[in-house]
Amino acid sequence: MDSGGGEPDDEYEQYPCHWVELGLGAARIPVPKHWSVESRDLAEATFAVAEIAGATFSTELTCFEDPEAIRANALESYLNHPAAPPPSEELVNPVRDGDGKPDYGRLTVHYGCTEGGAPGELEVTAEIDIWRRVNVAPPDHVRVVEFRFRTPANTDPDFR
Amino acid sequence: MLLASMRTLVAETDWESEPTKFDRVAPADGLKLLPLRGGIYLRVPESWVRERENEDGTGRDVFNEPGRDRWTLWVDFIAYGVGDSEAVDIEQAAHDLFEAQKAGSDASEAAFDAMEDRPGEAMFALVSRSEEDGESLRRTFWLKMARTDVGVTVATFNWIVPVQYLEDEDMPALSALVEREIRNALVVAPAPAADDSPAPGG
Repeated sequence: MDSGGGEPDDEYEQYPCHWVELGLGAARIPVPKHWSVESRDLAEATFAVAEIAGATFSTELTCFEDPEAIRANALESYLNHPAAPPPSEELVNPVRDGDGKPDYGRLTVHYGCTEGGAPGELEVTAEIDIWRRVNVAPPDHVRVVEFRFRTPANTDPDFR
Repeated sequence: MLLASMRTLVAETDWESEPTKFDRVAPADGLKLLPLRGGIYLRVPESWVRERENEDGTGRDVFNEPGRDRWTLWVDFIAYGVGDSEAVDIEQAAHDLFEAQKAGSDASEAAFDAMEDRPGEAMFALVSRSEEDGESLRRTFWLKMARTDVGVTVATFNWIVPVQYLEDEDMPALSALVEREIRNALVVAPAPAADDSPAPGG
């Protein structure tokens, strides 16, 4: 397999990574080798984050055929998360390419969520950081990868 | 601490520049994607409803035209475990099967597709006529063979249209859509390997 994106950068150099393919290679995600696989499917993968007990890192790829949105450069809706607060500042002020159009390939949206306990209870059982990235394979194909870093609510903030 | 590292993983995610086989079954305007028994990913019109052959939920997947019953599509697959799937010549294996099935059938049309644009896959079609309960039927049988991580998966599709409906105005376009989506259908191993990605050397 072509490793494509090259080596992970300095920030993660301490943990050698391997590439995890989603959607038969439509997206390739670097994942530390020492994280064990909890589940794996054609377009999804979840790993146990070894550094924090009970923490997981999940990725899910969804693809769409939407030539009209690509032609109109109107892909914002693919970055919206149905269960999260309004989009972050990054989406409001997206990275621009040379023509001044939003450069969705470089845009990452970050949401912060919490996971509750049983229905009706206010207790927070986990904190979830969600990122979404969108990519286009012209002329028809849109890909969205959602990343979820889930940590138990009792996790020491210094370890997150 | 880890949060910053997560951002790095997100930022370093890489993309294939060309559409993959998975892209080609992406939901589109008017088409939905159905994973069929974990081995076939097939796009069908949104109005189609999948049923199972037997009332207990077993057997082949079957689609009937909502409301009118002018056609039926049967879908089935068999997965074979193979020690070294890369060693299997899919085109030759599918061609051998094509010749055998053609010789044993009364097909009026037969076509083999080496699928050079989709490495590791090959398919063929046989078209025949039959009678069932006094009704003349046109049956198009497609067999699609694909190499998977753990072996070979063979998917079969039967598109059955009573002859009396073949001249309906919308039937040629519908048949073309079915053929196109069967060609694009993703045929995979029922249970993908848990960790099948080589390391980038990091």
